[in-house]
Amino acid sequence: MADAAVRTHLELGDIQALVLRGHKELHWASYLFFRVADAAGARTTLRALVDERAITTAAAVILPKHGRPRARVQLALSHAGLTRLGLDEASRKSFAPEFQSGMAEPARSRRLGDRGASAPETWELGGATHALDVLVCLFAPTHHERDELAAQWIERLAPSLALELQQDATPRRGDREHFGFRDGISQPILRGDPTRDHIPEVDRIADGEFLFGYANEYGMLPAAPRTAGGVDLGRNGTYLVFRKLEQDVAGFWRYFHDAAGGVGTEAERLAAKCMGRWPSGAPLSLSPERDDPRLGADDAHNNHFMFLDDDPLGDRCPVAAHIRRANPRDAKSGDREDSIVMVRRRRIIRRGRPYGPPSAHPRPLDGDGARRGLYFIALNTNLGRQFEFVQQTWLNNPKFAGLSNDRDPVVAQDAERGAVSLPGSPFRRRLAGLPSFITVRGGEYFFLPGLKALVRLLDACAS
Amino acid sequence: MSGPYALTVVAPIDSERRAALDAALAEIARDLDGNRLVPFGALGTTHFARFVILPPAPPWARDLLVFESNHDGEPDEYLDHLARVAGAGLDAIFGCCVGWPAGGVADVDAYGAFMRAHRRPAAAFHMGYRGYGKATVKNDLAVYEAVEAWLDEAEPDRSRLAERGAMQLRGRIARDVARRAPKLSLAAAGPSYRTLLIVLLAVPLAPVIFPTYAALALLLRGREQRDPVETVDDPPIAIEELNALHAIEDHVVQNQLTHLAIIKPGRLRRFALRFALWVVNLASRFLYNQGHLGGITSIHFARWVILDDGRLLFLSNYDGSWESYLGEFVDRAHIGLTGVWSHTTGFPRTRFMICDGATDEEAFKRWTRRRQLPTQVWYSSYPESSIDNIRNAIAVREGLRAHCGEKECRAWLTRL
Repeated sequence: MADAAVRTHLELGDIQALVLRGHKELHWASYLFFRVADAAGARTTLRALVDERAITTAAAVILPKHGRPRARVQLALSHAGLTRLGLDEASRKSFAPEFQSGMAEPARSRRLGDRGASAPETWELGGATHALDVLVCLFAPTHHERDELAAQWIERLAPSLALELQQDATPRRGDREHFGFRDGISQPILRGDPTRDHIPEVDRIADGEFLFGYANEYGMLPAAPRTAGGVDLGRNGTYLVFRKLEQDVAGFWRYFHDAAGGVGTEAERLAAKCMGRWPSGAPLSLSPERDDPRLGADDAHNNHFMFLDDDPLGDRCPVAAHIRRANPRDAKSGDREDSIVMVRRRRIIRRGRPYGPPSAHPRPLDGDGARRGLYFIALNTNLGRQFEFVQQTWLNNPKFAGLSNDRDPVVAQDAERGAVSLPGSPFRRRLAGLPSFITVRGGEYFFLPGLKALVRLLDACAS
Repeated sequence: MSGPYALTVVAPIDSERRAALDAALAEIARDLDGNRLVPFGALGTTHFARFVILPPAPPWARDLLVFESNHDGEPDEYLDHLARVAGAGLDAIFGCCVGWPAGGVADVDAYGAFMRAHRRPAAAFHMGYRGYGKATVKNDLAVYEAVEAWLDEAEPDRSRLAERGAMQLRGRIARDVARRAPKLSLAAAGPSYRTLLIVLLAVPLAPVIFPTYAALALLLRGREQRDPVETVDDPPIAIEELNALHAIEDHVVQNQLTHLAIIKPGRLRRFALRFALWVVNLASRFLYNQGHLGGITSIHFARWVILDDGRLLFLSNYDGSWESYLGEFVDRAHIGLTGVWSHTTGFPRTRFMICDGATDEEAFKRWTRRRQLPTQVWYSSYPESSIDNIRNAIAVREGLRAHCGEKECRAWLTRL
């Protein structure tokens, strides 16, 4: 790179910033979904965005010589969007099958656990309800600027791209999601990310797990999309998973309140057992008995732990706990190295943000009628091996790591017969009758292209 | 008992009766346990089974019907049992194949002759709970559930029970379970399988295996550098075909895989394939008889069958998702699998038969999916139990009355 202080083989000027940064310092975000109303016009409009540098690159937010942009914009396309923009079938077939079929495909719903109240037929976003062709993610420092930015972009893309849906995120309250737990702590970092030296080695992952055009954790270039004529469309791009997850916050705390016999501290302890972290973010693996807000806030220590040696049976952090399922670290198999290698090949980058008002009470027992939840966003180059695997084989799998019939107590949206076992003495305590606290309200798979590849893609759509 | 056993029957389909065959298979698939043709629920010694139709191998023109069963009891006994319980089904199904006796299963001798003529040996066979019959597995799963239920009920008393110690607790559980469920067997009967003896037999084989491998690897080195291979640049399976495979996956705890590859031409290749399968089979019996196959922890039963027409059929019954199963192949067992499938066409580029190949993760998964076939009828005896659950249930039942001290009893309680 031109900047002497930053050395990396990543083409930061071509990569959308979201792959490397979550724009956390910009508290206000909005997700705009557009329908392609006029393919030729839409292609011209999208092309102009690249020429005008309207899409934020990693270079703009990482390289110190740039003035940090006040507002940031990222752009992604769904398979339906590529079709409507005019991309030929042979080229579309080079994209991942998961992306081609879309998130609402019936067998996929079974895999992802999107059934019952979470089934695509009920979705308010995606499914058969909306044409989610183009996704524009906007990030701004203030509420007012975010709203202005959204209005500008709707106008800018009209009329060839028509607004289908606007989804506004709300700022996190102290880094916490709606249930009241600090989240987003354990996050893989691209090996080529030039400014993340303090991250433990185990979280530094091959760039190709998150970007086409670079070697992945198998030492191979991930199978990238390309045109029928062999023009690469993948380089510096990745797949973006968007899911709208509604959270039943009062239901969550009511369940643990009842399971704890009405004792507030015990309710918090049981909920923390199910999460694997205390509300502050302090992991049970390091602080098994009580919350430790100082540890929770200390990013140099709050994610520095393993499971296999200190806690093989889950006496501290239960095997079924959410964070142990989402990232089993060294305890996926009986062998540490083997497990770490396997887990490294299944990481996802998470860029989610909450929506809806925070609850007035930190542990509400009664609903306030407001709808709230998480816009879950994940980035990866292999939807089947990464996002879908984590969802199906780790989070939603009642047989995870030898378990018998346990669900992810926090995020399983498919808990017909939910139960979770918390190891204890002289024997486990089983929390039964565990309802789902999450309902999927919609989602879709998108492709977040590198900027040069976006231009090539638009050219391919036009030919 | 040294079972379970692998039965594979391969018979050419009479194309004029194909519609009747499809209808019969569809009828069975609609109600696996209770259908009138092959009521799997009444086949008390069948662990997993399937009917699957294979496309013809040119120049032959006939589709093939494959029946796979993983069963207890001697093979001849099992064929009698099948005729008694599922005679109508065998007549309806194999009646659509060439050469089925006019008198059907009722013509005992002709039935036996047909089955003998069409049975094909498994070139390699792996089982996850060698030596345990279905009755034992079902019994032990029920014992496990009974113990779990006991613990659920004892929940309010846990602090009082904690004072007593683990040995007393386990004794009380054993007494209560025996009283409440008198039909369950708690007897500590392990498998009759004798690992030690077999390991002693296996050790002298090492000097045979390594020189043979080295010779084959060198002899085939030139060919493996020239053979056409599939890479990630080849188009993936068509989305419609993929969705047809997806549609029959992820309904119960296990999934099935039917995979058909064409063996590369040449006698040396065929010999190398047979050798690789012989080694895998040996490893499965002697090295990996504790529930995993070369690091793959999710296989209940799997077999490779070399068909007369030069194709290699792989049938597997595994826990969890396709991605997790194939992921274990690639992450943990790539040497063995590459050693086998490198002798079939299109397999990703290998070195010395066993290196690379399956480690080209995406190319290998695409290669696998392209050769996967939809399975028309598939039966699992344990739709709610993983192999870990089964092995844990066996250990829980065996530990319920085993002679052991306080420490072992505490460890036993952590299995629940």
